[in-house]
Amino acid sequence: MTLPQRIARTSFWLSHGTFWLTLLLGMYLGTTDICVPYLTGCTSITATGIPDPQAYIFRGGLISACVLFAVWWYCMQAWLFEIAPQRPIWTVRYMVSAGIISSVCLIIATAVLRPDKDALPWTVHTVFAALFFLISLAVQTRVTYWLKYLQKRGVDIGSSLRQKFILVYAQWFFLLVMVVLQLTDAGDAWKNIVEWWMALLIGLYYLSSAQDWRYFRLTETD
Amino acid sequence: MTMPQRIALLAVALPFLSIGISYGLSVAGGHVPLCIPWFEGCSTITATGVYYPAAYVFRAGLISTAVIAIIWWYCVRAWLESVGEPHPHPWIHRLVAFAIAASILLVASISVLGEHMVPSSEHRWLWRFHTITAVLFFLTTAVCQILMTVRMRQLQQTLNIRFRRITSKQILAALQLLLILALVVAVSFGLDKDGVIEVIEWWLATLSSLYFATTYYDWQDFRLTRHEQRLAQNVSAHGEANV
Repeated sequence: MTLPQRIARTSFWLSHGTFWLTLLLGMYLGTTDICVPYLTGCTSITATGIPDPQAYIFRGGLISACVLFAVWWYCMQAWLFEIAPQRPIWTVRYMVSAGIISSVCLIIATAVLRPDKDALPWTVHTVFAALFFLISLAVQTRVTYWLKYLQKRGVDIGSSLRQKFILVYAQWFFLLVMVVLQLTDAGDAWKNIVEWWMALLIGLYYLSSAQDWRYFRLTETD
Repeated sequence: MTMPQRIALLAVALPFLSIGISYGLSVAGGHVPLCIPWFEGCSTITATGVYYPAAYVFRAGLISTAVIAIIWWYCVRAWLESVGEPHPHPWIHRLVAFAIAASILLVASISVLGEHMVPSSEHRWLWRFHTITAVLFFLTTAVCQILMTVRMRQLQQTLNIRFRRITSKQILAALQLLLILALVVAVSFGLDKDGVIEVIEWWLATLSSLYFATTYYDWQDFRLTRHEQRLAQNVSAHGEANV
């Protein structure tokens, strides 16, 4: 397995392993109902990381994963520079900066979580979590269209383009649903479902590059 | 600036900034006294990251630092393996594996910190967990940094490392070892009064972070990624063409 493949896989498994582990721990300790949040929306991602001891795993795992997301963006940029016959356009060139900004947003959103919900700075958490979702989605969409552009010019971009398009379109769909839910002041369960799916789709996007990076070496010693 | 140089700078700037801001916020909140902790030992590093809002900055900064440290150790491995004998050096791999494990311990150590640990008498298990993992991090990182210095001495000619750069690392590594020994003596003989432990803790963290920064000059010509190498080649090719 190459280093970029490891980064792609660890980005997904560390973040989602953290979510699932804290969810299971919450069910075991009785702080969360036994359910499948992707279908019932019984709890939000945030809620799984608030009570102790789940919070220890949540912040340790998710903040570490955020730094890996930034490294993933660096890998993506290095790979695009390697395969592209021409210099990518500026929105692609600056995706590492955008990726780092989105990661920092999620780090802030995660770091402010604390067990006493009344004192939790909800506005900071919500704004930065939303920024993470929006910036990640914007950059993922831009990169996907750039990959399509390269494919049209005969560049070997791997086999995940179709998956990437499905993941990106699904994210836009859920974002639209979330906007409607917010405007109609719908119940939390529906918003929770959308949140879990959005996070899963963003994570799967990171994972999808593992198959493309089978022959991509980031370093000489890789 | 090369990517490894950025990582070296980040590995020192991030903990300094995080701890500095947390300390400032804790002082402003009246949770720790205002002093120069390296000399007066009025507060532990941990104490600066217990109370909110300082704890937010502390955990975000130091957990990120731990991951940056893992990347730094990866750079060390790639750098030390980029030259020298053609056969691999398995002990370098082991050394880096230990250092990475130490950084994971730091993540665990910081993750449990927060206002929920107050009062300490009711959360002894958490405090013990935090202390053990933090001490193991410092100890393992110091030993790995010492071993790295030994390897650098062996590869001094091949890597074209200046003597004073190794010397600065040797001094930092030796001081860390001395401080750890002093810590063991202080705890064993009940001398842990008047902020002795706190002073040692601040110095250990500072020396360990400064060690990360010392590679900044070593890595002036070291390109970690092939992407960087290509960019450097393009720049030099353009330079030659212009000449």
